[in-house]
Amino acid sequence: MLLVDDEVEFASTLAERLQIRGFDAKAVFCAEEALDMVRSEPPDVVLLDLKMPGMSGVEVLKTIKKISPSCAVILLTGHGSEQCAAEWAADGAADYAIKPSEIETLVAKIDRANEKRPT
Amino acid sequence: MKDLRMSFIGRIISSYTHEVKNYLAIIKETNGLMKDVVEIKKSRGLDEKQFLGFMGCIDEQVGRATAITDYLYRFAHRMEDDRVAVHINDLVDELVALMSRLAYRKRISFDKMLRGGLPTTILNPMLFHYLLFCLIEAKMLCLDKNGVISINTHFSDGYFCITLACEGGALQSSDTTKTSDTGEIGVVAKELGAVISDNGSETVIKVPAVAQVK
Amino acid sequence: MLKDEGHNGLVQKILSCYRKLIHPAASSISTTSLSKDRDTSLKIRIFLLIGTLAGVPLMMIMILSYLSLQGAVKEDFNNQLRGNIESTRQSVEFFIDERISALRFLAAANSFGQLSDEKYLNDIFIKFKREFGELVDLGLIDSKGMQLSYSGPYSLQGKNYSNQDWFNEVAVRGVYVSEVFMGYRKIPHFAIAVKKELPERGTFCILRATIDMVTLNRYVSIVNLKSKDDAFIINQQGILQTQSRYHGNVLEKIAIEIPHPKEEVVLSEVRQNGSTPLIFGYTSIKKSPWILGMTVASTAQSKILDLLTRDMASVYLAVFLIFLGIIANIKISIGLVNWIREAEREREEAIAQTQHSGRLASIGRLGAGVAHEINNPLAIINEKAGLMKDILLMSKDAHIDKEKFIGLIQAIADSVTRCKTITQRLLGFARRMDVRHEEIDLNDTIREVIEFLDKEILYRNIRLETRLKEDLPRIISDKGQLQQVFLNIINNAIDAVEDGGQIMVSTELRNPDRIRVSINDNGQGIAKEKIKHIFEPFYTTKERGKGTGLGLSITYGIVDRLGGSIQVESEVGAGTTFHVELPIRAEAP
Repeated sequence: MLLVDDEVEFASTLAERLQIRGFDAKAVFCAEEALDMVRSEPPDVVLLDLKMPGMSGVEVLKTIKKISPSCAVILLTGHGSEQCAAEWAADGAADYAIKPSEIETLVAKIDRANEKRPT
Repeated sequence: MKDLRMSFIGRIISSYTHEVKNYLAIIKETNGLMKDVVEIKKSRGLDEKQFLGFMGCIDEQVGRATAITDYLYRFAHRMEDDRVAVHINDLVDELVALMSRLAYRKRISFDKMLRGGLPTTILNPMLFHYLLFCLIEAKMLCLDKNGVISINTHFSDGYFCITLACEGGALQSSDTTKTSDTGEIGVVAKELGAVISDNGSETVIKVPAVAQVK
Repeated sequence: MLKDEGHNGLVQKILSCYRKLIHPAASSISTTSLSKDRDTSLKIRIFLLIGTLAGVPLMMIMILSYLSLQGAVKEDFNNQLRGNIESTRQSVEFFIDERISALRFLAAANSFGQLSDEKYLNDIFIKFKREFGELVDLGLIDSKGMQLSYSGPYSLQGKNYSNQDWFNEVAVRGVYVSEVFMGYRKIPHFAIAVKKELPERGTFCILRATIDMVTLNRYVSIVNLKSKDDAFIINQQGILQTQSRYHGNVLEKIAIEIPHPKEEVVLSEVRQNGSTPLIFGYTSIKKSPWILGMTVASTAQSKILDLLTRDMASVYLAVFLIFLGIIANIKISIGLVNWIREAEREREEAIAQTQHSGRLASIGRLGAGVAHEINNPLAIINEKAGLMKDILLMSKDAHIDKEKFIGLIQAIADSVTRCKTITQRLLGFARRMDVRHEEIDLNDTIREVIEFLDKEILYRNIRLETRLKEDLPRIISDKGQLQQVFLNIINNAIDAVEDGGQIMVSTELRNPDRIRVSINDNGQGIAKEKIKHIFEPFYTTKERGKGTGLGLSITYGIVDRLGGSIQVESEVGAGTTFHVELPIRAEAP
């Protein structure tokens, strides 16, 4: 599982917490690195921050889905709305979560997304 | 006139800022305390319960800060468009949340009774916020400690009715001239297309429902 | 209106000089009184303009119609005069004809012997005189010019006329009408003579009658209608044959020149010294040496005046309408200017409203940005604390990695500090929404604005450099508005450059009173012909839906109101530089 967020402290800490919970979680801090990772070792689930410098989050989402369609992508955002959710789903997102989230909520979303993955 | 509106925004933002700073302060202190405890308890184990308590506290503050920040975000967004489809309840909700601290200082609390399922209407959201702010402020001025301001919304005959009433606390004489047509409130109400009626104990804002233009 | 500014400037100068003379203390003129004067001068000018535009054609029409009316009346007038003269002439000619015929009849109906008999002649005379009362005498003259018989008041026995012109003429022509002469009792007379052929004698005789002018005088004087007019008979030399009112007595020469008497009526304008011009009509009277003349002093003008005075009602109406027209003009001028001012005021209000909305929108964006920013550190705190909890719960033994914990705690503390900075900024911003004029450190202001845009700049990999002069004097201005200005310009720079582009913000002291802030980018630049439009409202080079095109015009307005100026330098492909100059002391608007 891949975590993509430019906030280093956030991504690394969350990765650690997910590891405690048994996920093979790795944190990367920019879109390029994330795409490289997806190409080389496609993860099952990706937690992707929308607001990052460089490529827009949505573009990264689309690229990931292109590279590895079976990848479930959960978007992380500061604020969401029903409209956005629909758009993101249309672009291939499996789910979205609002930062900061309870770890339990995140884990539930990850599990659900993983189950729904096309095999 | 416009300066008053600007200062209203300023006050809302100030109120938010103070609230968040409070939460942050608590986080900081709790954090500091944790540090102290860890440093003191050199070799002995940590008191699980204590620490869980700390973290729980931090979590709680973070939750509150996040919630209020979300309200600020929504509030800020309201300033972008002066004609947009809105849920009146959302607007009331936002403003009340952002005014909580101001009310809290006077030990006044809000009682929201927002009727669900109201349709959307088109108006200037920031202006509505401002109007509601002015009226609530007026109510706060005539309430003493421990008062409660109740806000009611419902919809009938094509009008949204937002009712403000004060309960409890010592009531000072209210300044009903504030709802005159030439006063700031009157001007804003006119701009919104709203009608304000005040029968001494209740203030009612009537806003006509405007259908969405395709 | 732009052209008016030049004239208005002059009017203002004159008015201000005037005002300075009257009130030396009032040399600082408030804008309201200035614009009032501008308004008044504009109202006057519009009034004059409308008055001229309406008045000139009206005047021309009035003049033209007056002239044509005058012409028509004159024509009518002349025709009337002609008619008068002609009918009078006919009367006179008829009169003469009648007398000639009567005399001819007498000559034919009576024999030479009868006519030579004085008693017989006298009898005829008396009978003739009964019918033609103006007959004065009757006489018979032989072919040698000898008076043969005579009946009348004179004693003409033995008179010989052979060497007189009239005798020779009647001998040749057969008929003769004389000019007027002073006769019996100094009364004007004229004579008619007819030739009677005496074929059996081989000679002729002449029957001559003298006629009193009284009847002819009457014919002529009846014509007169108006007090200043005159009608008379003159001979070819201009000597009056009848009494005229204004041109002399009988047998006096009139002062008017008679060029060529014709058979038809000739009209000419005649000017006599010291008196009004006359219209003089004349025609020759057939079978006589006479010319019928008429002078008319009443002119077409007076006739028109006559017409008008007869119709005072319409004159009053016309005056009233003109008066109404002037009032309408005044009202229109005033109304027009007021309407323009009102429209200007509304426009200004609309612009102010738009600026206000623009300001709100930018505040909104700022607020949203801040809210976003705070979320990140909050999320971090969340995770750090969460991790701590996890570790605590997970560890079986009581030994916990203290270092780790302290590290996590520190991370939380850092995030809290981060939040604090953000909220401080927000607070400062909120406070400033009330304060209008304060001491501002421009460098700080610019730094704050750049901080607001930090994320965006990072996002796009833009290199933003600052070269802010040290010890820049603090200025008195409105911080909130200045922030908006710089925010706007830097935002534009961000939009103009590509990812990885470069923006440079610098400040310098231009001269002791002004500071210059320059924002330079190496983006696409602006074409020369577009530069002059960029500050116009609604002008945008962005595609539809992106941006209102109001940003720069609002910015321009703010800088202008703060007493500063904006200049742009740009080169397509190389980049753009905005120079904002601000006075150290903000001038009053």
